[in-house]
Amino acid sequence: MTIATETSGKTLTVKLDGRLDTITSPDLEQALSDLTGVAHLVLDFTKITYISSAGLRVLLALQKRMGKQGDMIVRHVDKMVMEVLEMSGFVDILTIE
Amino acid sequence: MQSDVITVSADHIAPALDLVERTVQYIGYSAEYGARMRLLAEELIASIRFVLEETDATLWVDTTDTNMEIHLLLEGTLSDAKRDKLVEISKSRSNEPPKGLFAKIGAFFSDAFMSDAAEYIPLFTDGTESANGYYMPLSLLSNYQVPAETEKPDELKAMETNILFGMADDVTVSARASRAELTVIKKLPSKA
Repeated sequence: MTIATETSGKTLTVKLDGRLDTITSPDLEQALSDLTGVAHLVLDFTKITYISSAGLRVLLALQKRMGKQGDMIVRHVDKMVMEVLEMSGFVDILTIE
Repeated sequence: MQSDVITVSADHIAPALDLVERTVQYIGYSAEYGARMRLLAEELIASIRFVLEETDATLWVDTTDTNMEIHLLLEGTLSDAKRDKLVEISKSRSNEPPKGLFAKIGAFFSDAFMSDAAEYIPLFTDGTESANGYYMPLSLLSNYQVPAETEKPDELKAMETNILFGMADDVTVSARASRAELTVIKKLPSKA
């Protein structure tokens, strides 16, 4: 998985490409370990076609953290990824556009 | 058709997931369907990660015209130190009967791997013992009850359960002392 970040003011946009799974989720966790000063976190899932419970855990941790300091939006969610988000109840936790 | 058999450990998961995906595509299904079966395999492995940290496992795929089964088998003798760790993990859980799919799988596996062969008693007595000392596979999903909306699920533990429950047709477990097998069963869709 590749992770590209772009900062604009207090908004951090993260473009992900690949699978968010057991193997790659620690990379995302590490890449976003310092969110100091970020009030709006945007995760662009355009090129994410696979997510597992390991990836969901990272999303949950990010959501909890951003809930304290701002907000988090997940954008452009693929059909299969959306199915997993629905199964796991994450559609009720995350803000998805 | 049976696929190759591949070793899985807590830090060596990717080759097993690749094998599942490759097998699904080999028998004529799309890359997207391969990814779905890869996800089932990943959640199956995740559901017993705490045991995988103690012992290796093997994974393989069986397919027929109508069904696909992903098998995960753990076997071997644990050292005293590893066994003590499993006992510790077990004690850290509730003494009440395990609730939920994840807890059942965890309790079943830790029970099998903590017991001496001569002393092993299956955790779930509704499994029927067969002639060679194995217990018949016990369906986990057929008895699984989705938590009521008022019952707040454990956010971290429920994820594997929800994905397995949502995507698999069944998950079975069978065990004897020092050997336990977990199987995901999925009815294959028409290729047309």
